[in-house]
Amino acid sequence: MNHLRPYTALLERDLRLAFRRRADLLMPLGFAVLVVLLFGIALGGTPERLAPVAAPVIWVTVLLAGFLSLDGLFRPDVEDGTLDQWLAGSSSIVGLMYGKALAHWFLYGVGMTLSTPLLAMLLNLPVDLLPVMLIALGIGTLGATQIGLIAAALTARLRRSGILLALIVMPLYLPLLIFGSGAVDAVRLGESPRAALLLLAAQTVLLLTLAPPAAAAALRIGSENPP
Amino acid sequence: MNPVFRWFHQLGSPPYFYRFATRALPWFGIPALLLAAVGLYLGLLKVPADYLQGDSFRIMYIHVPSAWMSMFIYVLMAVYGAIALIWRIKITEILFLACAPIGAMFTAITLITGMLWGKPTWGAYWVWDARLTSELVLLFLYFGVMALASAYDDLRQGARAAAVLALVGVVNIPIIHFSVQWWNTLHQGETVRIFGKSSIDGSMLWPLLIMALATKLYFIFALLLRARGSLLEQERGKQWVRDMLVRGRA
Amino acid sequence: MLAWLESQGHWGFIYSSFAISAALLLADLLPPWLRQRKLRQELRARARREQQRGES
Repeated sequence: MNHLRPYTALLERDLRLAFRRRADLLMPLGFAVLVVLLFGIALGGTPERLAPVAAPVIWVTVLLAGFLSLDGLFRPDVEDGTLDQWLAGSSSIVGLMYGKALAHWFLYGVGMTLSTPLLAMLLNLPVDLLPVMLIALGIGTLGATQIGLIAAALTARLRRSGILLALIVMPLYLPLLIFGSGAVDAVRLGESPRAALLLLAAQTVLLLTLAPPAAAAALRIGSENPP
Repeated sequence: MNPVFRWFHQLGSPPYFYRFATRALPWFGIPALLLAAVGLYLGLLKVPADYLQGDSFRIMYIHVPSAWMSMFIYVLMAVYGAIALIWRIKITEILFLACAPIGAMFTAITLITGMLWGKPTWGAYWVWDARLTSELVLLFLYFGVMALASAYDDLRQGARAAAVLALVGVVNIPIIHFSVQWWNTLHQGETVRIFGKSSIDGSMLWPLLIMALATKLYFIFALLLRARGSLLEQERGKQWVRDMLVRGRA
Repeated sequence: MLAWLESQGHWGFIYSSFAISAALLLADLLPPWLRQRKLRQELRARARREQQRGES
């Protein structure tokens, strides 16, 4: 197991850093509740108006919350030189990408999914939709993390730009959103969510395969001197 | 060495490419203009009106070739991007970057003509049908490539980063298309088909093919024009540029 | 303005499609063309000056 040491060390480090600032951990949840608050008030707070849009609002909120955390994914490592050390070192960059993605997903994928019951309660989500919602979000956030990995890697050495990140990430989020909310819709209409969930899983598996190498290639770009 | 191969190789040299582009421009620009004139004349004026849709279907002669080009250019751009990433040939990076604004233009034309066709046909400017929604996503994919490339201070790094994004995009485009189609049939029932119920008659097809060819020739013209300009900007200090301009052969 | 457009019937939409497409095309084509024309003139002038300086 020794050869896995660098990757598990990275995972540990990222998770430990995240837990050291407990307040930061709660930020995505805080953001999500704030967005739900806005929707609740805008829609008048009545169950009749909230329940039909509860699932789509939760989906968009989760995606936006995950997106917000992307800027900090690689920027600290660029700034303190850790990234250049990785690139010069002997560990596989792709392996490191998997480590980074896993850390991010633990915090913002699994974390957000576990917060869903709270959001569901606030938005009067019909209870029978909750199980499929949790499954779809769990799979979907795994894919969304991969997309975020690529976008963060492409913009790591640039000036902070939320709009650039959003422009890159949002079109790619679309299939995940379509299949994910499609699964919930299927259950709402009394049909089986299997097709939608399988498509969602397929999209996530594709991303798991392609995103880390793409992110690794993207990180290498900034470190080279132009010929 | 195979002459075609050798010609491709020579195109990698900036002065050779510049001279080639200058000579080639009128050979693509003028035929493009002529073909477009013929195609639009036939399509907008000569072809008989559709019995179901009236005259508005004529917008198809601008809308459909633009839609084809918007997708074709993205794929070509991704190919240039891949070559630029693997072989780091400077002219490929320039061609890659030049594709994006032209593709975005065709996508914008597709969207606007789609909306102007939709209003008389379906009663609304925007319908969330599969094609229009996919084109809107494609527009943002183009914008993303353009924005990412220009965010880098170093031109060549920016081109390579944008190339990675373009490749990610090109893999995702079929998925996005499929998912939007899937979503559309789920929510709108019958897929709203812009082509309507009448079958395409032979006489209606010719102007479409002429316009398709015209847009391709225009694309090559615009691509060579933009690439020539970028090349000049990047090589401005070089001796070959000075020699060429002084000799008056630009 | 939209109301006027809609009152023109199908041909209003056809003409505006053509006009807007042509406008977008020119907006895409003209800036790079004018930019490089200006650059060429500028570089040519500079190159000619340097050549004269070299000869004198």
